[in-house]
Amino acid sequence: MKKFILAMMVSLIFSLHSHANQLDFQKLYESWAGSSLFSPDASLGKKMWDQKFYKGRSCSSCHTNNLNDSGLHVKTKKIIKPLSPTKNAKRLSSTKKINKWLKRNCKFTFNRECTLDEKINFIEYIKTY
Amino acid sequence: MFKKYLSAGVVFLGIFYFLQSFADSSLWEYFSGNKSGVGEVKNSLYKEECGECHFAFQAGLLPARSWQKMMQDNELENHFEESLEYELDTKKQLLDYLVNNSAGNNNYRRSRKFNDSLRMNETPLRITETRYFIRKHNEIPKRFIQQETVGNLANCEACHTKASRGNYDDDYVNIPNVGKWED
Repeated sequence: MKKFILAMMVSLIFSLHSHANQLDFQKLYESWAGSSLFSPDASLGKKMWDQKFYKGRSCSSCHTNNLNDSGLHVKTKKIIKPLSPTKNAKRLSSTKKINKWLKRNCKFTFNRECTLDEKINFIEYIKTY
Repeated sequence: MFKKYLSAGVVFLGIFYFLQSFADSSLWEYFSGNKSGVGEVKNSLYKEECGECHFAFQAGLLPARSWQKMMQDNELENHFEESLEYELDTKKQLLDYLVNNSAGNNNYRRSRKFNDSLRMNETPLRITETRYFIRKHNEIPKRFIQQETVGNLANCEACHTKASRGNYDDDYVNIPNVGKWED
């Protein structure tokens, strides 16, 4: 019995720890949405990833369409570390950074800020890696 | 008689070349106060914010007035087609670091060359548009620059193997698919 309780406690602690740094995506999406409704769809994010927009730019121009790979900035040739949160633990770990890069990169690629759905779907697509 | 002058001459030459060998070393720097290169990036905030999308250009590559202009809101909004936004505090920290280490505000020799090549009414935002930079790169065949691995002249690290140390010396230039280059 004692061993069982000990095992339960250890696994409880472990499970808590593994979620300690996990971002609350629901909360993030709600902060963007306000009172609007949304339905996350990674496949739409994936679809938009390869589409060409402003000056022929696409997300994949810099990030490639395999988020496990490193990318390359089209203009500066700077190496961009993989977007995959599995390959790169820093990805999707900071709300501040997510907001910063979505704003900057949507403006660069689409010449406008991304819509609520676009932002959510991009995050959902990145989460699949 | 002749032997005396000869040996004196040899000793003199020996001392001369011995001292010359210190010309670029810290011994020389210690006495002259002048350091080679353009200085290294020593601010971690700058390195992060301004080294994420492109090479973290050293502050010593442009004069203070250029950095000041670049950090103005209207310029940040269109920073070479990127729209940048910073909190006031971050902006101030970045600008202070840049100005304090800018060309004209440090004692790095190559940084001074950048500064000296500009007229007072010139405020370039591109390092590649400074007279000194142009002079140093104008004989390089375009195809060396435009090749895939390099891309353009703003990609310093592609050829300058010690660029991240603020060292742009000829000795450490290695153009991809070409090799050494000296001007």
